[in-house]
Amino acid sequence: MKSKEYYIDICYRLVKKFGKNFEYLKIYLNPHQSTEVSILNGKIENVNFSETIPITIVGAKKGKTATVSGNYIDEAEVDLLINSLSNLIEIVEKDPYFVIPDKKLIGKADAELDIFDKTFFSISVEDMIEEAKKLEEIALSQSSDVKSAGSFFSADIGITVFANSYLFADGFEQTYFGKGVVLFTEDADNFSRNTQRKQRDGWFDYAVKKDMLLNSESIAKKAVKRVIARKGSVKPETGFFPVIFENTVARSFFSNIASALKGRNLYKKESFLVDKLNSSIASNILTIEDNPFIKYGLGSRLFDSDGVKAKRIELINNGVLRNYLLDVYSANRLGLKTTGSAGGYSNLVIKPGNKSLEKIVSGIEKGVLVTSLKGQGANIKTGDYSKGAEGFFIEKGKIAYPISEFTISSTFMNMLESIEEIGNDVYRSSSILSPSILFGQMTVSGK
Amino acid sequence: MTDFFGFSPEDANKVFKEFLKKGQFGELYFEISEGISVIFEDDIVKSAVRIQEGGVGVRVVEGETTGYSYCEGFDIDSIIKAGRFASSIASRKASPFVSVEYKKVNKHSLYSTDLILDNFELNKRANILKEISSFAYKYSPLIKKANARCTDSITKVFIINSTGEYGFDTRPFVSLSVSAIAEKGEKREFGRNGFARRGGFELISEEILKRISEEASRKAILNLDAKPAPAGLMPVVLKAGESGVLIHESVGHPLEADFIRKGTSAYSKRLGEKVASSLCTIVDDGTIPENTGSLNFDDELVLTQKTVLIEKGILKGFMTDRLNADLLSMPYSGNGRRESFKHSPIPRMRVTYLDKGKDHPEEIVKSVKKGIMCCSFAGGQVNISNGDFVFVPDESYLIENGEVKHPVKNLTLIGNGPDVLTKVDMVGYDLRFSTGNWICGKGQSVPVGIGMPTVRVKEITVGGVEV
Repeated sequence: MKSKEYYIDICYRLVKKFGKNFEYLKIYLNPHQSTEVSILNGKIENVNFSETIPITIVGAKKGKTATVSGNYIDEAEVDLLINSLSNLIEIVEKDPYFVIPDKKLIGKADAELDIFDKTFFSISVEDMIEEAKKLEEIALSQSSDVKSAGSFFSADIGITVFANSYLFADGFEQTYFGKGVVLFTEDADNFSRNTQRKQRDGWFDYAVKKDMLLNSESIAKKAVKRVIARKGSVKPETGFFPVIFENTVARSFFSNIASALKGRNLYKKESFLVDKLNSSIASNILTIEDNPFIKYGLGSRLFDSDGVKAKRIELINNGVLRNYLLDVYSANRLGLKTTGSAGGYSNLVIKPGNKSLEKIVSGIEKGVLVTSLKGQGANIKTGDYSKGAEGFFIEKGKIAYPISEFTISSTFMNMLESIEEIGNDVYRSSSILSPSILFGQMTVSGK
Repeated sequence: MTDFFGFSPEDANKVFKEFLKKGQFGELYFEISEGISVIFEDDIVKSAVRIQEGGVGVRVVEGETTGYSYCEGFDIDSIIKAGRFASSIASRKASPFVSVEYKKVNKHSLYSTDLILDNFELNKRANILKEISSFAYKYSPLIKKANARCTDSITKVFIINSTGEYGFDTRPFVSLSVSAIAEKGEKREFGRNGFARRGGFELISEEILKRISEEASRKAILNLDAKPAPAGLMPVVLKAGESGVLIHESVGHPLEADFIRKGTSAYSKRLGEKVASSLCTIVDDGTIPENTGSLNFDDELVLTQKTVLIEKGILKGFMTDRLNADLLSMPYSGNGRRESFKHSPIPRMRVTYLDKGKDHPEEIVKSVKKGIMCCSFAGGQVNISNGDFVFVPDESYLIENGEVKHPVKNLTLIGNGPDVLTKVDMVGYDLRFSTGNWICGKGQSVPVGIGMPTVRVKEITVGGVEV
């Protein structure tokens, strides 16, 4: 990896050299280095190291745009790529909504993100192997009932560089660490099925700085607790029940909501939130914002992939939809202003409530706590929702037993409107910062 | 001697000597991939994309340990640098690699093309997309939008390893997809269809354009009048073709040798046991011409083959890559695949299907008193440890007293792989392979094929909303 300035300079020279051949030209360069080690039963399973410099160039002539992408090897290669842009543009038709972003929008926000770990290059592969080994060892020492499906440690560094025809060229750096362990155990109930069923679960943590990762002890204990708790899971009864999405799972729900808020899905009318701006779409306890400036945030950034300065955006306020997530093009199509959201949300922040997960569970007579989801049944186009799930059955305010092989179904609108509780247990190791959520009623399909 | 990427087999000795130790397995994976996508949206050719990527993946294996690194670009110095990193896993001081003689491996000839990339005029892609879209509008006035995309690519690979094997393969790929929006009053529904093959534009006919366009339109319109699906355990009829998703998720993944070796699969140590109804014969075949899951040799030079996984209900074999086959002392099946030079190969499916049976497809439908019939799918997912899997239909109907009634929507089916296979109690004679573009994601994305005859599953949990 070379310095940020080195890559910014490459992009600057490219837009300077080729900018005049196009009505508008933008370049993204994303040099990235990644090291990952994985351990299985005390032995090194994999050590992967990669260094890559993907480049994407978008050019426009007379309202017609085309894209080329590849890996940056040298300037001669890039020259060839840019030359083929003109050929591609020839077969494209004029897009009446094409717009060149206002120069005033382009730039780097003035914020201190603190998302770069200066110790990055002093961390050796041996250190990483040691960390992953220790994590697995601690996990296995907690219980003789669990086996390892592998532990890992990863370290990434990336530079996001953007340049365009305005001769703007700038970038920001980010580091990213991950650590986790997956465990499995023989299931408690084997006699009723034609299988040697196992249960598997784990725990992971991610952070922009190495020292911010959860310690191995905490990760290991959580992983062991989760996998043991799954032993003997059964198929639940079919019926209507209140359903809690544990914070890690609530994340996937809000990620779907963010897609439904995306400009591209709105102008294509492929979102259930089309034409819903300023109307009430959710329970009044739901407030969501996109905040690119969270210190140490995994999704923090200074500009979006249009090169537009990042800013905080209120998306849903007390249940009312206030803003979509718009890039320059989709904003123009919808007659709105860009929200600096090209490429999607930055850090999606769901405002926490004040109850713990335990407290929320305690208020439920009979219901379901979902701890993992499966499948492609979240349809943001139609708003239909149906997914495979695993979790726990709740009886009389307490977690009663583990359940699996069931589905939960509803629609996004019904789910949003039926949010009854939002927990205080925000999951922070993600760019979606969500607590656990209670939906008043969903169809649970099992036996 | 032949030269690939400016690299001759003799160069491999030079490179391996720089970092490989005796007893280690070393491998260089050269790849260059080029592709063109054209996107038709809002009734115009909206955008065109060209992608070009290449590099060399270097793998070093010692026992259970793999070191992997890659470089972008093909110069020897960069390859050696990547190799030094990959070999840093070495646990012992051993003598250096000794030169070997290189021999070209055998390969199939399952695909070829002339009409692709620059040999196929750019503008013709635009015409194809316009045609697809106009077929949709002609199909019904309810179709308000028909967007389409076509992608063609060629991936050239050259693989050489320290056991003295090398091979070169050119892998073409062409795919079309169409998504139609139907509107009636306040209702808006969506239908998708696609076509993908290993080959070029000579495989694309007007008939195919019409078929995928009309299929997408038909599905969109059908869902306008679909009713909510029921919830609970019931019999399900899976129509021939795309229902192969069931096989891919329920038994395919758990029979991949990495899960077997680690003991995380529900099928570990069960070879020779009865794991499915005796009507079930399940095969993974990498040799079906032009199928997107087929390969002339796999991504580690092993000749692909037709691998019987389950025969009449008895577990017969697993899908292996070199590493896991060696560690399990099992034969190589040619299932070692990778997304690109940036990835180390792992056991993956190729074209996985349930073989044909004897039942008449119509009789299978008639046999159901109350249940669901599923015809096409949006996808699926599995937990390989407990065997629970979902598959998500996008065209399904209610069956009552042996008759197909109205379409139903918003449902997920959930089952337990080993359990569901014992409940397959009717298998049709109408085996069909899907021609859609199926991408399987297991950390890395690779194209796969699926197939199945019409099948009845005695009972499975249907996740609709109506209790």
